[in-house]
Amino acid sequence: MKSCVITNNMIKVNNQTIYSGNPSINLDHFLLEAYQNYKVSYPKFHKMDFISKLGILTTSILAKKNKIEFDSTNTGIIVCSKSGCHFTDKEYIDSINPNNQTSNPALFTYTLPSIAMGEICIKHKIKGENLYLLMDKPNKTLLSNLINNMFNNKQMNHCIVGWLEMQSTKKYLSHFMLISKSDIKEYDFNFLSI
Amino acid sequence: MDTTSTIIYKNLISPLGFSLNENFKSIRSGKSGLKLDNRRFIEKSTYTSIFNDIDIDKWFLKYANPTHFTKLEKLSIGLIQDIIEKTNIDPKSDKTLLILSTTKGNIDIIDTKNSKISQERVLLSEFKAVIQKHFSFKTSPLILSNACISGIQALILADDFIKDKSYENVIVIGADLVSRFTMTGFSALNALSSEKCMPFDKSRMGLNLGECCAGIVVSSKNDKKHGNARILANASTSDAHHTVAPSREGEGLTNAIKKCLKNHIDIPIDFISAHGTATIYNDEMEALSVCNNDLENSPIFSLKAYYGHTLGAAGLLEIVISLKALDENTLIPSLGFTSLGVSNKINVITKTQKKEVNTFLKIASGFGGVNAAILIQKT
Repeated sequence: MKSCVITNNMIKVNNQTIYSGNPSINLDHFLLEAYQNYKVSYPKFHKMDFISKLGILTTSILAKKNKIEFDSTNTGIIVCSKSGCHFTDKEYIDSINPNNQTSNPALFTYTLPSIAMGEICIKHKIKGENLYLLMDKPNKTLLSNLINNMFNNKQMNHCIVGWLEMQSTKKYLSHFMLISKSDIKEYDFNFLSI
Repeated sequence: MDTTSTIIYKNLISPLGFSLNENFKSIRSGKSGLKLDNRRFIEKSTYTSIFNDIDIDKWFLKYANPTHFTKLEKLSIGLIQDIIEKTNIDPKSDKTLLILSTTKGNIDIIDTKNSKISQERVLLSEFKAVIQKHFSFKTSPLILSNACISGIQALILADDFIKDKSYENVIVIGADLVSRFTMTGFSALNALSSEKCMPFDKSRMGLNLGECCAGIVVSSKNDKKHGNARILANASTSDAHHTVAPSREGEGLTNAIKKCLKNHIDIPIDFISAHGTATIYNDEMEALSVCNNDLENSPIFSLKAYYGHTLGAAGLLEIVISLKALDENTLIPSLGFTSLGVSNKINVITKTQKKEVNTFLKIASGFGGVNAAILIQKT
């Protein structure tokens, strides 16, 4: 089962903890540590919001540790969350209060829930079907259905599925899996959520 | 085996009318919702298509108490109530699903001071909860939020759910507002036009923002009351190029259209409902993608000069109007267009025309480099 989870300053790949950062260190520092440790090597990373950084890190480590090269047009992606980009929205709101003139275009682009998914597609050159949904908790039945749809009706051979939830710098969970058409019957996947 | 899936109902609430019929009348008379925006959210002048809030409250009174709900909740609840009354769909059935298509939801409440509405309601999860509670939807509504292709994708998802028998009725609501949040943001990106937008025109200089609430119902029941249509094909792709700028070669949208039409090469496309935001880059890339698929002769139009860019609602709004155009056998002119300003010649509709139309293609692209195409036919 190809998966990567980042939560509580800790990284797990295929259900095994591979990295335990100090839970009390700043998220910013933890993400940078992980970025350097796993040689993610993607300068754009440093300009992203936390949510996109989490998504990029999780999918990059998922790919590296499983030696995956995502197959461009036949790889689909489904990303879900409960809170979307609310965390980044708050940052943006602070930047436009009280003086509207100081709005930051770079920050604004991260105020769409699906932008993190866009960043993942750009980094890994994923060009297939894509879907971003908000729901209270990851719904296994729904996600199975959507993944089957990707394989049976949308001609995808692989599907990246992610739960990318950020409520605060202390309360976040990024859980991504790579599921292949050939796998789907064998795996019973289980999404973690906070 | 797939179940037949049919679009059985559609409606639209916008600054051009509180029903689809009113909206279509406005469009037929060349009316635009765009007016000079005088709220001073940004320094530069721009046009927006926005509601008179008083009109919303007057209209909403027949549904519930306006003071208890946010603007977006009122629009959505009112439209869902209308849908339920006209289609008899039971929200308490586990075979009914609501999909909400939006990018920013209740983002305007950061600036409103209503003691009955807590700031928590800005969360999309709370927006969904309010709607679910109001109608007692048995199944938790889904929110689809994928930038400007949200509306198209929400309809595709509804269709998929009917075809695989997950549900018997899916209500799709697309809604987004113009707010200080979005105006300051698009202004900072230099995306806004200081004039009324001009899709595909050589003088175009950017987009205008707009707001609306559109609704479409997809069902496994073929109810002939309201003028029906079917989704023949669809596709979404990702440019994998840039978060905000479309790829110059238009590869993503070209491929979305190609994939969508792959098994329907022989079907004449009577018109194309474009994204046509009137930014330099979008329109150029969109025309290129259309021509890359040999559709340069298909009549094409954008609705952005009537409604502005309604973000997460845009795809749905524009499909609703296109469905009405199918019903009325009419080609709708692309308001704001005078002379072609894109490198690839496309056939922009310049005046209203009565013509038998059966099939249309709706296309769109959005931030994140996403693209979608959907082929819809009269039944």
